[in-house]
Amino acid sequence: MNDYHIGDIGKQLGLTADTLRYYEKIGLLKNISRTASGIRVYSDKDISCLKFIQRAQKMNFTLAEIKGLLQMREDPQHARTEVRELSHRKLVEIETHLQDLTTLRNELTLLVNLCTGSGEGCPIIEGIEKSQDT
Amino acid sequence: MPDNTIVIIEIFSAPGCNKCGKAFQLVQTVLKELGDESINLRRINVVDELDYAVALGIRATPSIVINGVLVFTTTPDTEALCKAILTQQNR
Repeated sequence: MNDYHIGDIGKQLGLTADTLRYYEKIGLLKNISRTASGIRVYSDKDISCLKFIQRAQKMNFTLAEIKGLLQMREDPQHARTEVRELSHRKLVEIETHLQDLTTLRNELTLLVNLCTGSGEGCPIIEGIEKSQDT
Repeated sequence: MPDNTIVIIEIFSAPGCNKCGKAFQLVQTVLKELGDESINLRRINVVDELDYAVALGIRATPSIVINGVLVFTTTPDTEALCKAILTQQNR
């Protein structure tokens, strides 16, 4: 179990002190420990929570949605119905996103392989132009 | 074996792909030897039909699809190609 100060989190996750204080204020981060002099001390669990928030933000989830998902993460067995429903909706969104990403990856793999084996320029450009036309 | 089973062979090629021309020639030669008119051959430029190619699992050229199944991901030898075509005909 490690302790982290705000500066450590900034280095590790790229989050500012203002962001961390804001997350605490709106209830995304709970029960942050403090030293006798009032300095915030974050735990490994807080780091895990912050990483979850960052991942969810990359999926364009709102902070309100993330707050709900964190409740589910904290205590899945006793999560409220609406939190469960939100988690299920988000799971479906992620699955769809994953399928899109997989298709994109496969398409790019093919195009990159074409580029490698092509003696007449790069078909990637042609492929992108064609997809923009449609 | 039903004589009229249609086999569709699709060769996926790309501009500047030297191996693709050889693969196409090989398939043409094999089809001529088999002399079977129920086998249809189609050459496809992957750039023209990217979505279709990706959906079939094609990641490089030349690739050969027989009756909608990706069978070869490089130029096969004559024997392997004949065997794959006959397998599809017997289905």
